[in-house]
Amino acid sequence: MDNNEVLLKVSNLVVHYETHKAVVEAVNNVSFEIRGGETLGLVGETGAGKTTIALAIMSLLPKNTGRIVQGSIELGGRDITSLSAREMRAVRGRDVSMIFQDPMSALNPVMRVDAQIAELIRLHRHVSRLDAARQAQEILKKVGIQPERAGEYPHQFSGGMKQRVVIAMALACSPKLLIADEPTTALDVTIQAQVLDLIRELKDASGTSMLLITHDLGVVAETCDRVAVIYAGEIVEYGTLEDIFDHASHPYTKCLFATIPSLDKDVERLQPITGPAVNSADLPEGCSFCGRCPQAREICMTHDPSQVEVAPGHLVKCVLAEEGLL
Amino acid sequence: MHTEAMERLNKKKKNKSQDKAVGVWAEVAYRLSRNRAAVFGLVIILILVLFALFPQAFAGYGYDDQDYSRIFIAPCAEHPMGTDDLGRDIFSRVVYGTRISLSVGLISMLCSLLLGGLLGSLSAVNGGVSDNVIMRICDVFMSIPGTLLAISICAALGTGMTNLIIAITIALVPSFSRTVRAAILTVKDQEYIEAARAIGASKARLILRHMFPNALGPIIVRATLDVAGGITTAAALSFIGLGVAPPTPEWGCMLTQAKQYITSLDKWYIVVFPGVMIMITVFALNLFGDGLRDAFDPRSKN
Amino acid sequence: MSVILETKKLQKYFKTPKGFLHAVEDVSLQIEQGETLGIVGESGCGKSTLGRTILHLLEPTGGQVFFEGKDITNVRGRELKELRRKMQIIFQDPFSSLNPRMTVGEIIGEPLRIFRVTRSREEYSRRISELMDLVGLAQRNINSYPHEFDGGRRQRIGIARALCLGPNFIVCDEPVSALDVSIQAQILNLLQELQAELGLTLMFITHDLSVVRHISQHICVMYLGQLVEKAPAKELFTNSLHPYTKALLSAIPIPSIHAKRERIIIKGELSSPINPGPGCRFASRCPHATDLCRETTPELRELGPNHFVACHLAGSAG
Repeated sequence: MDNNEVLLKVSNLVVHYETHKAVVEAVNNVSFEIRGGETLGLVGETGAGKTTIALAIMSLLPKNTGRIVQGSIELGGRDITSLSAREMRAVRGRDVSMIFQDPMSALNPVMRVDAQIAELIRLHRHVSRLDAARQAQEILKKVGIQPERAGEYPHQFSGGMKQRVVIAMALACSPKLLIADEPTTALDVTIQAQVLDLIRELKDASGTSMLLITHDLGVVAETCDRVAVIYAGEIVEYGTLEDIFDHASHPYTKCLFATIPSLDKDVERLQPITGPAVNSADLPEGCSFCGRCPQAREICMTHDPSQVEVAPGHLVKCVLAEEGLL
Repeated sequence: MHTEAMERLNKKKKNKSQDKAVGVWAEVAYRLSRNRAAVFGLVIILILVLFALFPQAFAGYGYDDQDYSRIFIAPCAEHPMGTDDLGRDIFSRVVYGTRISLSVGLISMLCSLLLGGLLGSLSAVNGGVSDNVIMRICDVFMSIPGTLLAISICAALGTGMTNLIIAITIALVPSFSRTVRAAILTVKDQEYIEAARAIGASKARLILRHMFPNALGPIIVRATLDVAGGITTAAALSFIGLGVAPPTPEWGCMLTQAKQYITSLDKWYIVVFPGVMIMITVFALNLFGDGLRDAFDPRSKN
Repeated sequence: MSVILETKKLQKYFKTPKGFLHAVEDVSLQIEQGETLGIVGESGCGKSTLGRTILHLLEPTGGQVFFEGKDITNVRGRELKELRRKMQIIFQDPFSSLNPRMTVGEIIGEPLRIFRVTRSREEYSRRISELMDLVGLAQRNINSYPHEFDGGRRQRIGIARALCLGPNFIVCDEPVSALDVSIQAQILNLLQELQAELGLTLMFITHDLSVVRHISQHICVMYLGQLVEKAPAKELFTNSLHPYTKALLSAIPIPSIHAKRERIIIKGELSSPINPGPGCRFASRCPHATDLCRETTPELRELGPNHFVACHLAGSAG
């Protein structure tokens, strides 16, 4: 795939969850692009709508409640929001695949892992049983699982090994886009380092693009090319690694950095983000961060700012940016 | 643009007002109220409870008022369910019978709740040997069909309302303690139990204040269904002459007296109405119990 | 400074169908009055078990625990209940550690009821309001249920409950791991303020090294039930001696694009803590392991002021 071509284009995506009690505005007008071979990091706190975006792309939103209200998701130039369930099944696994936080939820507990991967391959490619089995073995070897363990059941693996199997599964059909939803959050740091290394290696080798969802800025710094900081279902800041880590402009992004205890600097007191987390079922009228923003002003309560390009490719959604004060 | 903003604002207001009722019980009540079958069951149960509480208000006659000049009258305005071989008004007897059936069902359920709850929670909380002993004894009892067990106990103890309740209670206890045990096991390892231990809570407090309230869902469902089970068993026992003795207007007992007329089609009402009452009661309780189960665990339905 | 809590060769084994699981093995440590001791390690290293064993939420299978100079290894009944006043715990999961059927007031006030601290209703409600103020919960929430709160405020409820009886020593079992970073900072600040104000001694269990560096004076690193390194907090980060600690430190993703460092990726995963053989438990993953490491268990040695390491090779040329 050409490295400059846009692979995934999400435009003005709005997703609501509707329950009998309330309408939860989980994703509000989100737009971003991922180019071939690129990794986009989606950073935000619990409930910010990161996973919802991923599920919307995979068309796996909960049937009864979740709904794409507006917007389009184009994969390789084709709008996949209008695909039928059957067409979407063909896309999932072949063009896009997803790694979940909990590896167990993606594995069938009563099926051997090599058989699961072979089945997936046969679902998307016309190959013989034998070929599929052979390919499965190869992929497992690539993620560091030795052939003698390939015939075991998921429960016989530890957490890190299970995540390796899941990665093998996600990459089995060489998808163009890999969505990784907190792939290492459930793992220990030493195992996390191994898995992140593995994902990076495999991705570089195959040229797959990746959407990495995480709350850990450290993981982002190590794996991503571009970053989208998401708050209350909106992208509040978007840019390259350098834009975000060296020239963070949105007050929320700055707060996020200030709030992490440092490994090499001594701070007497951390700078927490004050105020309660925003309730997506009851978003404020103006900027959704204004209730917790240290730089909030009168206008922020009533005026919902739009995205401003403060530097080429660096977007900030803040009143300060609109007024050119950044 | 303006209207859109207005809409959003309105929607938000609505959200706020609906945000209030979020308690666990409120949620259950809400889901239950959306289940028509369960509401239907509940309405019938409420009517039956009214019958049981104030039979005089509904019945035109006493349950034992005999009038030999008016035997075998088919259902009519004065006797909506007709009269029996002794000239008693069947409707009045059925209404009075509600009190007996419901109280037998309810009391034996409560007794088995107490006993089964105690055994089940002891078993779940202590684990190990006591768990094994209690559960194996339950297994032994459960290997005998419930009704058969109740029949044997009743036969040994003799007839009468108290013995009937004892028999039904014993038949219900084993499965009840299993339910309680399973329910408590699911909450036993929660961190709030450990938190309560860390602040020095006694075992009784752990069970009554922390485990029981959280394990209540499946226990309530079970209890509702057990009332229905108790009522059928009571009727069956009375029918074969082991439960309540005539002239008490117990439904099963009424069926026994009516069974000699079962072949004469023109006297259908003697047999049909007590039978239908048993059916309606059990049906209503089961509808309500199933509704409760769905309300407590919405996942079970989809 | 006096030592408030000390463990000597503390052991906790669990019986499993496959044999004994050595969750905590010969852990000896001391915590001084008013300090924060961090316990770091990966999941399954026995850090939570250690905390719970000290608090008698689990019974130790060997070794001793001293609290305020008194041997509390075998206390039972009334004595244990008294001990609960002085030693408390804050849990990791603010969702499962609060009884969903109790209101905030009931949860915070339960210790008062259990210990029959007061008979008067006014005194009871006054104490609860004080505690809610102390941890930064609004009074109007007193009759709310836990599920109406976000993780941070739930954790505040848990902290208020732990503080209710005025303990000296609190085990914090991953109190911020389930929280978002912004909330995490609030809770860490709160804990530090409370510690200064009430003179608390904290044992802070976590897997997050940056958090433990921020909050503790001393840090213990655990691996598979054993203490492998103990050092003053800053020292551990600048001059770690155990190979496991080094690997652990190098594995943390740093939120900066300028951090250049050598990464030591240790191969493999935790070996099984069930019936472990002799030798250093880290030997199977250690890049420097020798035959000596595989055969004899290393003892904790003091290699610098207050800096203890359990490694045969540390300090020598390797």
